[in-house]
Amino acid sequence: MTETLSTKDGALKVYEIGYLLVSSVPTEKVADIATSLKDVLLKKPGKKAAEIISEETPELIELSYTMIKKIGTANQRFDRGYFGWIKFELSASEIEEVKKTFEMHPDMLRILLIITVKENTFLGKKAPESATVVATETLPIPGIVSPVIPASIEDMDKSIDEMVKEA
Amino acid sequence: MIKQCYFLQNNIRQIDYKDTEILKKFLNPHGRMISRKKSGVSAKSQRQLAVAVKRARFIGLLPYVAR
Repeated sequence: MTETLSTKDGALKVYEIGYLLVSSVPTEKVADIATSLKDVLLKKPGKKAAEIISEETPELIELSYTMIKKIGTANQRFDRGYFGWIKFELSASEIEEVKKTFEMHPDMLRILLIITVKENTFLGKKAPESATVVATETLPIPGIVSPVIPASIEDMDKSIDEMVKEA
Repeated sequence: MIKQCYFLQNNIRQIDYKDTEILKKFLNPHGRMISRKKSGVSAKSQRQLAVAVKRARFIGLLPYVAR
C-alpha cells in the first residue's frame, strides 16, 4: 500500500484511514489512543484541520492471519488487534504527513489509507442477507421442441369418443 | 437462466472493504475469489470487489489463504 495518495494541488479529498492497534494495549488505554490519533487530524498547527465525516472507535477483533511486528529487537506475533477507522476530508498536500504520523505510532500494527467518497459506504449489519440470483423468464429457443406431456388413458378415451362422434 | 449482479440488485454502488460478510459471499472455502462467470457479478462490480477483498486481506479482516 505504497501508492501515492497526494496530488500536486492542495485540493480537498475524502480519505479513510483504517488502523489496527496491537492487542497488547490495555483496553482502558485504547480510547485514549483513538483520541490522540483523531487529534493528529484535528489539531494541525498553522494548517487547516481535517473535517471528520465518520469514524468508529477501535474494537478488538480476531485477525484472519498472524501478523508480525518488530518491537525492539524481537519479532512479536499478533492474532488479535484493535481495529478502528476514521473517514475525513483533508487537503491532498497534507495527507502524506498524516500517514507518516499514524505509521510512527508505537502501538500501530498496520494502517490502510484509501481515497473514498463522502457518502456512507459501510453497510455493516444492514448488509443484504443472501446473494439472490434471479432467474428470468425462459424464452423458447427455436429448434428445440418442448417435451410433450403424456395424456392419461381417460383423456385419450374422451378424445377418441369425440372424434368418433364427429365422424 | 440469467444471473444478475448482486451489487446492482441491492443498489450497492461502492463496495467497502469493512463489509466482510458481503465479501465472504464471493470467496470460496480456500479464500479465493469466485469468478464472475459463477457469481454473476457485473464487470465493474467485480473490479471493485477485487480491490475491496485485497484491502480486507491486508488489514487482516479476511485471510489470504484458508484451509
